[in-house]
Amino acid sequence: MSQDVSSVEMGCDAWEIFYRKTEKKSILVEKGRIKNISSEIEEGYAVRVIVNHRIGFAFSHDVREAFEKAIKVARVSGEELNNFPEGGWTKVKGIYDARFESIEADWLKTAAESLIMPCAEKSVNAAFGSIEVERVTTLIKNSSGFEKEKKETSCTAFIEAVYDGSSAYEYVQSRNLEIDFESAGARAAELAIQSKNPSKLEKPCSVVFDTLALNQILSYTLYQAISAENFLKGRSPLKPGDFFGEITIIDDATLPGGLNTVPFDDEGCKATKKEIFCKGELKTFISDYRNSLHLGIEAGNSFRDELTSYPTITPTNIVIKHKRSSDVESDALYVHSVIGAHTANPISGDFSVECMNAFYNGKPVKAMLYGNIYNVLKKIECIGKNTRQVDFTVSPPVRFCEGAIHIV
Amino acid sequence: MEFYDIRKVESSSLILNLENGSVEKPRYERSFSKGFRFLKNGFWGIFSGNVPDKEGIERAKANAVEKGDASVVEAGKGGKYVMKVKKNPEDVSIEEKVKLMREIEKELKADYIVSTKVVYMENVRKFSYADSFGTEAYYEVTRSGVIIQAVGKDDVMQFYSRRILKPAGYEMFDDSVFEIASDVRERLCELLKAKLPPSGEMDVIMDSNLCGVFVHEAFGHAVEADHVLQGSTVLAGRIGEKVACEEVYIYDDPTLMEFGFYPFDDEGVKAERKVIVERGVLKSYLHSRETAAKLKGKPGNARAQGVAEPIVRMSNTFMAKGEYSFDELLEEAKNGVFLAGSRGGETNPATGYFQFNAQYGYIVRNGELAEPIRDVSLSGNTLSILKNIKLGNSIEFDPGFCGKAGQLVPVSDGAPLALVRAKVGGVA
Repeated sequence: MSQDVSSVEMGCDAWEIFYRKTEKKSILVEKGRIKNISSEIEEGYAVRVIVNHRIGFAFSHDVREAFEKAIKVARVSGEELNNFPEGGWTKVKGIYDARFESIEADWLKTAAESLIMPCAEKSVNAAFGSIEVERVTTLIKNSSGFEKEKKETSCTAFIEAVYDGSSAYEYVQSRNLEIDFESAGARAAELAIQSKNPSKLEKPCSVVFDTLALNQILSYTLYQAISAENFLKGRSPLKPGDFFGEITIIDDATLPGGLNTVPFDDEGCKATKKEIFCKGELKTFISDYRNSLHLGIEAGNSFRDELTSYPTITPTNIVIKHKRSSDVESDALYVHSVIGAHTANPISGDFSVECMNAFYNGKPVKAMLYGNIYNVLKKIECIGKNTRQVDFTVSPPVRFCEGAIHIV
Repeated sequence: MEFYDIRKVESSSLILNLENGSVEKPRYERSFSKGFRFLKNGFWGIFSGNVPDKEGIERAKANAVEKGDASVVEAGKGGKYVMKVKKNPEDVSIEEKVKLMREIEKELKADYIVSTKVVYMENVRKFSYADSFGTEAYYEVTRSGVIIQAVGKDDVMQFYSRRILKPAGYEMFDDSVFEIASDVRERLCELLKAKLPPSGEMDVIMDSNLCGVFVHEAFGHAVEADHVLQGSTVLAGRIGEKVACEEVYIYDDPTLMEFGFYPFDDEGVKAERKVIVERGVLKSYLHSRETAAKLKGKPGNARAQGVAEPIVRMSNTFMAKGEYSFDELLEEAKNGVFLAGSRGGETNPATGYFQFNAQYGYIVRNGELAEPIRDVSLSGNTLSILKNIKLGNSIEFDPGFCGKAGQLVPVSDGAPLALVRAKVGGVA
């Protein structure tokens, strides 16, 4: 934090400075060829203040301006708090890889070639792809005495493969450079080839959501509903003690190498591991500091999407546990990914999506799926053996009983 | 060919959320960013960061390490545009803005409404552009608006929202915002009584809002020339071909004073209307300066969030009106569903399959609107739908933010009512 802030703290009762510097490098692929290489440096100050128990927020590249504007908007704020958290931190592993510091264009080119190669070998069009590596340094300092820095690295690769009228995409994400680009490219190519000429499924059956499809649907339904703020504001259909089958769901911000593992959240509250559902019973919600005080629960789930964003309750690594099986896919509709997940109703849990790549016993299927996530969670048959993380969700593929998800 | 350009964006915004009577997460933001591109040996090097211009160009050039096939067409002369607003939002006190929000919120009161949210937003974007051909462009555009949302509870919980977002100053907040709020209240009452929809393929009348989303998601993304070059759109290589029935005309027009308005695109090209489909024939794609060079098109459709890489985007995309009244469309449909409003949608341009979710609807029985339905979605294939579509006789625009490659830009979609055959799905 290079700017002097000692004199600007005067106009408020309490304050918090959130500084973040992001250094990003990326490479873009279009139609099987490398198209561009870019780099980016972004930094700035997001300031929150408390004036007469009311919180104000502002972002600027100039910390003084951020303070002035935050104090101004605090005048009308109804968001009340006496102080910012004293905070804390947890020792976590696997979120920073020093090798990111020396990544140059050649490394990106080699990685992009690995991503594209499996498509080229199968005469599949690697229509669009990207690899992005980033190093993020975050410093939080507040008037309650918290002052701590966290450093993180991440790498994300994406590839969309198109083959004779069908398409598929695949992701791979990691905190370190042990990342298998080639497998992601091969999976996208294989899915695009296998998805050609899908037919309609004529009979009801069990449905298996791959981790990717599961993450898409849960992000717009369940993950909204387990927010303490949404619960307190009447925007969640869930309440503690509700039962949803046998599922256990843990929000684990301390998971070694997890994509969202952190020592502390973006308010300075220490990372924790929380059992949200234990054998089907809803035990608690994920929360930021302010709402945690209302509910008497742990904080640690407040994050900022972008540097300019207001901190919002967000899951970290959602670990899903259930009875495991080595054969989840047979005689079931296997769904790799869907389109339209964001149109789900976060209040009721109802979703209706179109399958992007789906198969029944290996044959491609086109289908629209609809259901209610809370009914669906009660009807899990089993989960697979191979756990993978996609964004928030850490889970193997999940198999739902016949009739739990409707197929049109 | 060597080419470079420099973009500078200064943006200031105020966002206020009035949730259940309390102003939550009030947020002010002012940012200044610079973006640089360097084209060398047909390959782009890109850099963004607040560094001196010379250093920025050098850093972008240092990323241009490969060989490629990119080139750019010239942007024209550039120019200057400063939007004149009648009432600058920055001259209105924050307390007065909150007072307006509270008045809007009053319209949402009803015993069945358990949660309300009114979001106020204002933004000023100051954009400057310069390139190595000598093009220079500058503009200042103000955008303002409100989003009004309520959650109702009876046997089920439902939410409904509407928004008014415009390239305008504080003068846009007239009586219409209160009318929209009372529509949210009344519509929610109706939704709580609504039944679950039927499922299967059937006749569907889309209202202007939902049809606008169809035009944007299912068709607009498929005519973005970067998708054409990637070989990931069903409309690649089909200029001059019939892709819809003769009644269909589709345009993209950034000069309309709707939410997707811009005077110059993010490559310094003066904005102008593009004819996408005329009498059902595909006439042109949307282009950046690079895709225009490769496909011999006209540039002017490259946009960016902040100073991210400009990519081909829509602005105000609309389907022209047809001849049918609502009653005539109901008569044509006879039995099916009428679907209205949108909770968004998604499309796969490579296959043409789309999925949208309506905010509410009605069963159509014997050519008349019958009972209301909720939580209903629509899916189908773009080109099959456009082959047989009957259009209403007036159009409306609906504003929103469109996401592509991780970037959000303001857009609007316009359309008339439309009768199509598509797959409808509901929930259990």
